[in-house]
Amino acid sequence: MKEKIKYWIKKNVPARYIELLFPAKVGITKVPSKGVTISDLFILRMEDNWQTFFELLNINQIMNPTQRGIKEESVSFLFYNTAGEFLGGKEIDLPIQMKKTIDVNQIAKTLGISEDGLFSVFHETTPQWFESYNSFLAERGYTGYLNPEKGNIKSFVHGNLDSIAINSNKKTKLLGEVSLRQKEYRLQHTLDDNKEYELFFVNPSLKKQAIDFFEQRGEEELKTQLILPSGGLGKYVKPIRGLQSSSRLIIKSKLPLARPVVFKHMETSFDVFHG
Amino acid sequence: MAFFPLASIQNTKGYTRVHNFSPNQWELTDVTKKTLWAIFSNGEHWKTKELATLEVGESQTYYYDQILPLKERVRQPLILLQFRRTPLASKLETLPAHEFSYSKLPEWRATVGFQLNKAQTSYQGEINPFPNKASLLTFHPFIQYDRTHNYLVVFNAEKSPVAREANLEIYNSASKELIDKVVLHNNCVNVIALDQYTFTPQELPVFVSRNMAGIPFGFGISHANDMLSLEHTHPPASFVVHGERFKVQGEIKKRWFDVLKEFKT
Repeated sequence: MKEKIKYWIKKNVPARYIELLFPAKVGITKVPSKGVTISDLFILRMEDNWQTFFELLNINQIMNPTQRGIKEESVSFLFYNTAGEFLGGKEIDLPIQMKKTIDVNQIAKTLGISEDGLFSVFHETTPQWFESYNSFLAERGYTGYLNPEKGNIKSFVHGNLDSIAINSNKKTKLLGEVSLRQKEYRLQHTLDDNKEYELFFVNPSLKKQAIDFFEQRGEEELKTQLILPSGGLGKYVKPIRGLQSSSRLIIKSKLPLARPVVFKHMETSFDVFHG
Repeated sequence: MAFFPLASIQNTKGYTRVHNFSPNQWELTDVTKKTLWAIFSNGEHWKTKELATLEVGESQTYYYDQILPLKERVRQPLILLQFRRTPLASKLETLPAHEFSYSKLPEWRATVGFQLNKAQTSYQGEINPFPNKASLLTFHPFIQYDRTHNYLVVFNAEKSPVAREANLEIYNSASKELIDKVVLHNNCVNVIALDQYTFTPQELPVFVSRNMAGIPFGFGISHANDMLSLEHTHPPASFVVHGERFKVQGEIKKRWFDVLKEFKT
């Protein structure tokens, strides 16, 4: 019953009103209409010799392990540029197997895409039995990044946000909420001076967002601002500063949880993780 | 609030960087200096060590070997780091309660990492003790097939320090064939080498423990020892959002547990 009440409030009361009454109750994403499937907005890296892979799983089989045989599944890969504009999509048939590693760059190239951006992965259908629980299927799977110039194996990161939904008419809708007040996210990873970091931010909300960065090292504070279009992607770069210290990063925006995907570059390797 | 894990995997050097600052400004937390303690099980008791006091805004890195040198190690315990106001006895029979208020969205986390030569890998981590009747179901979709040694790593923490074991069953998720059974140890860093099972890129291994829960990771070490790769592996329930998702998650888990009947030898 408690779950049902919470679900009703989340679905029907705008997150800003809830936040007005209860400042610590912050909604991250909206509950979409019934019948949609959901995806995260995954980062596509193509420039500077980056390769992006996606570990596509046979969700139908995973949700229904008792069903005999594995059915073929159709999955849509949709691509967007850094401004959040839709560039194209392609349907991929997942063969009769549990998993397939998708070379995302290869698909993007067939659509004429050659620059970094975002992609979403939508499965054809939600298992019917989810509906009785008012739940949705969301693809928040694993993206693998490879760059032979920076390291010789892949680094993986999982999706963690239900950013965008698609309905049966192939119409998409961004699901990210916007906070009433500006929120601080203090990265719980200090940035080493002698390493380069690229921090990628996605705006899953329907409005353009300003993100303010405060990089603090001792008494110094470096301020920068990034404007993220709705559905867009932006990057904060911390260059090598050649010192043996580290800095803290504070991120201020109206995105309720502006957690970046971080690429950390070292001498012989790189590491990708949620900041 | 959770503990911060500190682990050691294979020939890497495990480290945890603990931060005395909240990840946000809008949840009420204790903004005060905090003393960091290390807690680990010797199989009978929790052993404790006081590390340092961190000022507000300060971060400190601790290495696994620094707290538990190889010569003092009987097993491979997961070291739990905890901020405290009051000191701990040198020996405990249960994990101590937390003394500060922490954030929830997101959780107050530490950088939990591993390094080998010039390579590092890390995640933002925390761990809560699992009930000893909890179970584990996870898939590993990102085994690497080129120039990589692959491992499944399972962190376990329970309130009791008393050593116990449970089986981890490894199956092929398509054929439901049992591939192997290995032993998990509570309050430890469990490392399972995966390359011996020769999973193909189209296969999706599934791991089941009916008597012990844990946080599972896929861990990769490049053959040249110059790059590391680390990420959580997820339960199938991670594909479900909104509504009564915990019930959906329970249903998916039950279906897999039923279909993967434990092989009786």
